[in-house]
Amino acid sequence: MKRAFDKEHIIGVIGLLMLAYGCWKALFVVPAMNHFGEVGRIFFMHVPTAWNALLILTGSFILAIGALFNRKPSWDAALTGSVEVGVLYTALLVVQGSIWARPTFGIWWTWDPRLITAAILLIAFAGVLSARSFANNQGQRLRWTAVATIVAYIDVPIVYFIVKWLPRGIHQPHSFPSTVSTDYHLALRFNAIAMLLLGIWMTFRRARWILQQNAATAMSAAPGAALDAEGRTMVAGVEE
Amino acid sequence: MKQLASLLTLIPALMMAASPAVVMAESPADQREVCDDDVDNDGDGLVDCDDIENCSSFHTCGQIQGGWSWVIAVYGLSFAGFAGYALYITRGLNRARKEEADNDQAR
Amino acid sequence: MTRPDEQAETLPWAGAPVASQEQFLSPEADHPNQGKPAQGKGKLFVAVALIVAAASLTWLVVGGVEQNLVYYLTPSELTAKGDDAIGANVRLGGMVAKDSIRWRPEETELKFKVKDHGAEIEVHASSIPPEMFREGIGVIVEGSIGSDGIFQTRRLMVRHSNEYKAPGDQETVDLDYMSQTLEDNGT
Repeated sequence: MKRAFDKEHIIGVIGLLMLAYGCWKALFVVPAMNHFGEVGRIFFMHVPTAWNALLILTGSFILAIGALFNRKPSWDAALTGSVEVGVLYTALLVVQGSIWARPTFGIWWTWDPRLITAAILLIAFAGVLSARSFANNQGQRLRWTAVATIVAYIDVPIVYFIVKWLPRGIHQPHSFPSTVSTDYHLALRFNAIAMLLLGIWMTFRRARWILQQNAATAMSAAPGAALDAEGRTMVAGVEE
Repeated sequence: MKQLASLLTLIPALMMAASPAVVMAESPADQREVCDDDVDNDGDGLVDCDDIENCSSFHTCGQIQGGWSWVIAVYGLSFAGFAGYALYITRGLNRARKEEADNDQAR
Repeated sequence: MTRPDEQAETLPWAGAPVASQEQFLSPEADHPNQGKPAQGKGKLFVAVALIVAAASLTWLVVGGVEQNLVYYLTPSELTAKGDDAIGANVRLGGMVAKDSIRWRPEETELKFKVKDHGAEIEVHASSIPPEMFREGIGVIVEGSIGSDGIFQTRRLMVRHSNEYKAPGDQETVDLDYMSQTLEDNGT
């Protein structure tokens, strides 16, 4: 059976091409940064990762509210996918930041407000995913995931605004187009959009996988369905 | 043979003649910019760290030297993260689809 | 017999069959491998993971945030404390004063002054400074001030501004981004 082309691949391919172009610009074309030298090129990876981690988790928050209302398996699947991608981005963000801090700040880690809240973000959303595995059935799993996501989301605005609320820390306040060289804008924006598109693609693919599993679930729970010795689904009536 | 001997005695003389040129070449090096003494040693109008051409690599002038390994670490790690997760979900989806196809066939 | 995928719900962007909503929400409907509650080792693992997560959250909030609401003191604030500050472990943050850096690589000895609008404190460090370290940049030093008024530090951190400029760009000079407080953070 030939499977139809999954439309989200278009988003993925565009994202991949944009990331390739953005990273090529960032690594080989733009001039080395004043004071930072070559190390400044980490900027083009770290800043888009941060934006998109917060953006994707905001998407999770919206999906969580929607899923609580409509109780649709597709929303549950998309919610789980987006939380997983958000955790991936946040984990990368924290590690990237730690590596970048070594040559610039002179340290791997310090208990600065921004760094603490970002670490809390990672732990909180990893907690959302582990809460999911505790649920007894799919309906409960949807509820728990959605509620946990909404609770964990409290930290997202805190992470974003903490550099304004507690300006004393080692992390930089928000940068603006005026504080970043115009030479750097294009590569930065390409990488940011690319990572958003790739995040959406990964969320869609993960959601598809979950829905595929749901289909198998429905099969095994269908009337007359039974499991054979290997644990595979057998449907009565087809056997004779 | 005699000619050769005179040639040999000439060598020190030649070296002596050449040596002032060597001293001349070395003299600007004495006036190289010292990057932390508040003096414009090389006379180009720029003092200490402001003399970017000569002092950018001086440790307390605040310019990171090299550092490509940090860049490679961050980009490599990020690409590995994206690729690893993409591979994980792609394989998972394919496995689930194959299972479904097998089940359909079994019916 | 109706096959389950005939009444299946589809993703807005997909055509693949999935479980119907009724089956999805019924308590019996569960994947034979994926959906069942974690048992034995699996359940223990999840429980341990949750406990570790909760403990580290508490640790972060209690140990981290509380102590770090004021991440560093400015030279003015430390000076204002007077004798009370002597010997206490604190973070001091300010700008590196112009023409104050004395770096002797042979002895790994670094002396400089940290200043804000109102005060200036002499800092002695015995480690190699980060390469970003220079006059006029923000620094945060961990250590304590002695009765001689000299701040001895074991840990020197650079705090650069939010400017990411290329060669040839106009850079803001003589910024003081280190003495911001809650009141004037709008700048």
